[in-house]
Amino acid sequence: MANPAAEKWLGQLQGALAERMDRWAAAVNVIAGPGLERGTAARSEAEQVSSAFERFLAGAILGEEMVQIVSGARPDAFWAALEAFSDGSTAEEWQMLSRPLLGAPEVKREAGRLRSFSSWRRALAARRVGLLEAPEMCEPLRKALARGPERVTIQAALALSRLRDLPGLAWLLQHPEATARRTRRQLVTVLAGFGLEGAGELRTAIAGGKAASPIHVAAIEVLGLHGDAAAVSALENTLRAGALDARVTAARALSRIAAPESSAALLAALDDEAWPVRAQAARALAAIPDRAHVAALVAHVGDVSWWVRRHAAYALGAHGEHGRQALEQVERGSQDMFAADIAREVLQQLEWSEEIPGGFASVV
Amino acid sequence: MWSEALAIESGTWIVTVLIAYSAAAFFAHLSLALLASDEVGAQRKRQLLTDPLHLFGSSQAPAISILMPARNDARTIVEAVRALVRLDYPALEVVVVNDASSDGTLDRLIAAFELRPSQRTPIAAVPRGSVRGVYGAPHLPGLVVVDMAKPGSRARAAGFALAYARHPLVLVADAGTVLERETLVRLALPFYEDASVTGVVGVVRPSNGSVIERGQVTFCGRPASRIARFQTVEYLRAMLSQRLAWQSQDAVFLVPGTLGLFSRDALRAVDSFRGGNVGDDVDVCMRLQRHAAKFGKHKVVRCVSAAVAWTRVPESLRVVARQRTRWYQAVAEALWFNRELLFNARLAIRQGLAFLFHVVFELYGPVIETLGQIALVVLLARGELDIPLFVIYFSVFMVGGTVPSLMALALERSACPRFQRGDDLESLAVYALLENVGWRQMTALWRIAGLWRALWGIRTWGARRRGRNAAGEAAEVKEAA
Repeated sequence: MANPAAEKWLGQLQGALAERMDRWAAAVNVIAGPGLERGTAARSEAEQVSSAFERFLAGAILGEEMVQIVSGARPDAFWAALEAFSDGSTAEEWQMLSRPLLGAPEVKREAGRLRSFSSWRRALAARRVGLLEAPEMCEPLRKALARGPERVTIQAALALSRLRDLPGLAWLLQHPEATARRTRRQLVTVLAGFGLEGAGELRTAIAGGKAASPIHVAAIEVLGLHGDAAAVSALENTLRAGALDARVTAARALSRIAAPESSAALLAALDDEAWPVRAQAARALAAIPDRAHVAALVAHVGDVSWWVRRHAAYALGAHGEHGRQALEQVERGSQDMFAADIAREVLQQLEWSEEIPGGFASVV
Repeated sequence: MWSEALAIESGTWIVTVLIAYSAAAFFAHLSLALLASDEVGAQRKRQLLTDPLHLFGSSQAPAISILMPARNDARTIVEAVRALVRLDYPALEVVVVNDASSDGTLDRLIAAFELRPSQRTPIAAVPRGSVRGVYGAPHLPGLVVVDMAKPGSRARAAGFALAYARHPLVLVADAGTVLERETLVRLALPFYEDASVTGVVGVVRPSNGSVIERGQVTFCGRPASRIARFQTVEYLRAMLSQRLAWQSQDAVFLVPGTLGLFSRDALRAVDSFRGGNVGDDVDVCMRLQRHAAKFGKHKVVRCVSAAVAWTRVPESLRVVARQRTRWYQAVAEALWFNRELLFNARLAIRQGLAFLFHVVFELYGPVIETLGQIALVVLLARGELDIPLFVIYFSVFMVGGTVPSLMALALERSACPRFQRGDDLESLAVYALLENVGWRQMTALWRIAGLWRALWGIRTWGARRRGRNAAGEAAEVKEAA
């Protein structure tokens, strides 16, 4: 078609129709009801498929035989069995199983559905195809990732993260608008899935210290979860000059890395104008106890924000005997009723610490 | 022509109006049932894309505070709290508020969980003297009990619990409500996936006829009591079918006695749980919708059919009457306080229509139906009833009352199938038909009583009395708030 606008419009129309057809099919299925017999048959087929996987891994049957058995099962039963089986398998077993399954007609059909007009169908295909440990799936998954919309992008990203596909990670970080509505928590799960191999890409993405989009904020969080000491400098820059969410997350990441050299940046962040940053900075200082922090933390036990008071007091609790003495002074001598209250709470937690599962550190 | 029309006898007019109203109600409820089927289809599709148990094995599950207002719940409180503490969720705390109970509720909690006076500070300001004490246990850091000095409304108690809660998501539970193992995970999932979500509601179902062991439903069957069977049909129609339909239209408004997980920040933004009105904890979703509309946000409140909680419904008419009167008072107050939803240009037109539906069919429907049926009896006594028209009205009334209920029962099998015997739904289908003769009329009277109390601003926390569950054990039958 010569006219790109018309082509785009036609594509959208086809997509919308395909979506609707999917939804109606599901609705008809609802009205018809799942049916006890159908449910039992599907369960039985799924058990047969699982049994074929087990026998293949045990060397009792060849790959071709396994593919032949699983090809006879209904698609839903096949994928349900594969998903359930993936939970209890080792990486080696999974690689061994994935190779012959790539030749299964249902897998080929599902890979083809990564190009479906229906975005929901593309998302489901990405989720299913991503179960297999097969690098040759990266390319079609990357195309689905870029085509979107968001729900397809997120499923393709999860699949690519299992395959540790770094070009996929780079694309995600370069296109923050593709995941703008997703929560930080979900994006953290996606990015953390790429493992330590992805840390370099994450550091590059936040290097400027101006990260503000959800995916970049999630990248900061994941660097913290990885305990990536090489990211400390970039995180400190973000803590100083980033957007609000990024500053809060950077303080949390520095807390997880617990590098003593971050003290200066975190002490400076205690005076941030935004209370969530002050609160996270105080909490982070609990992870790197140092007598030099005590005075600054005591000053913030009287902060206007409850969360800052709370985290500063608990951070003092994590500072050993010096922190305890400071808390006792606040409790006895402070004119600030709120500061005395929170100090009292922490002192009680310290008293109870031997009975708390995980000790005092678990309640900080 | 007008003079001819006016010449028609008043009896004919009354029956014609009733037919028109019943037909309109039938088509409205039928549309909702169809929308609910469509929504279940959409939710089944979405479920295929999620793996909640796997996701929530990670450290990324949003933390939840369960708030439990309790007054004179000594018989059930320990088991209820124990069931919550045992729930399978990675980051959870339970805040119980003892709303000045006189039956030893607090003593039971202290003894069962070895609680000690705690120095825990509230996040929000708490009026001086309103809290008699706070209790905690070192071996259970996720449990806090707040002892109130004076009794108040359930919403007020929830407000105090909120002040002592520390997690970003909150759920108000009842001592008589049992959550399924995966319910919290299912409710939290939309918060995990979409940053714009501020509230997620689930489906509450009657537990009468089911077996609950150690806080878990181990067998689901139809209730033995006929009164509970009528209520089971009602719950499936109102709390499953209609709520899913409104979810499809982004218009989940009223959630009486429900299971709802809300963002703490959003609750604070809409000034929730003020405690001034009976409907304070009923209209949270309406307030969230109104608040979201100011910022041009949509789909902030969701309904998830896979998230199920169980509650024991009363088996005596007197208790049902009191419960329903209170519910409909709350609904009337909630609609009045949120009347802005009707003609608000910032809201979608479907939200205005949803509000109109609630006013016309939920609030004033019982008044119209009851007055109409009284008029029919009078006309019959005076020999002025147009029999053919009456037959038409009765047919529309019966079909309109039965079909949406049957569709709701069918929906149960797809949206949240729990009945374990094949014939349970079939037997409940009989009650879907029977409820139109007697039960529906009684419900209409209770609704009218609720409307009356709302008009006069009468306030109560809700009385309670004991009933017996299927296993024969004494159980608290509490009026769901």
